Amino acid sequence: MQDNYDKFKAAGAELIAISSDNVAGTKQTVDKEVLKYPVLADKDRETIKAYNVVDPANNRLARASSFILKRDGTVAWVNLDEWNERIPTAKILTELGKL
Amino acid sequence: MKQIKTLFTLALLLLAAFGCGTTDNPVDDRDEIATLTGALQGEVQSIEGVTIQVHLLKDGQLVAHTEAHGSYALNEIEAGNYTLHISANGYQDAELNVTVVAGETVSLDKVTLAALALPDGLELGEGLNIGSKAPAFELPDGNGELHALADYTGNDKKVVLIFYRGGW
Repeated sequence: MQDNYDKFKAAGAELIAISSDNVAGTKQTVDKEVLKYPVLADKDRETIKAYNVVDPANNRLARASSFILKRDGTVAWVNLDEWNERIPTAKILTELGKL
Repeated sequence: MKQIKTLFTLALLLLAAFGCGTTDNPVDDRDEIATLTGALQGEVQSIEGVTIQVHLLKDGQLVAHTEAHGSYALNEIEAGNYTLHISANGYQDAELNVTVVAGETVSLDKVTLAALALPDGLELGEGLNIGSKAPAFELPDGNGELHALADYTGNDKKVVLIFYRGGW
């Protein structure tokens, strides 16, 4: 996802990642992957619940998913990943281009 | 010779047993454990087909775990203050501060979990409807620095939000 960060920037979008990890776990992920974009810790899963992406099989985790939010803060596009299959970045970029 | 050795061993054992009984050691080991631990019991509404998880935490660390089937019980818990975290898929979490008292069973008030409000026409875990307002958030990054969604949308930019499963 790191290489793609610049592509999102070029497409006029900010990239934000969220998981149910705590702050320390999130730091590990960021340090390991050397990520430039914000990776946020939703330990209490309040945001994960608000976006209705609690994993139905394990309520302590987020379901892998992507949202595109428009400038006015509304939801423009939603993708729920299939089990263990992350959406290709190219697909998100295509959707961004349509907006 | 072997018989003598056995007798000697027996004598030693007897001495050890009586020795313990006659010293003025005031606390028997078993009594000590019983006085240092206590138990918790409580009740949650039954939800058909939904497992209700009960986690007992001390300073954020998991101490004990059970599932509630209407009622739940946690036994042999060291006396002290804890947080009891009750969660179920599709429901809001409930959290209680509890105190475990040595040698007692503490009965907790019944907890009723509130169902999560789901967007129209969507099931649990299916995200949000297109055109709906993206919920605001403010969350810490790996360095504890807070980021609000408004910091980004207010920037006149589109936002790509990725949720990932995270560690186990």
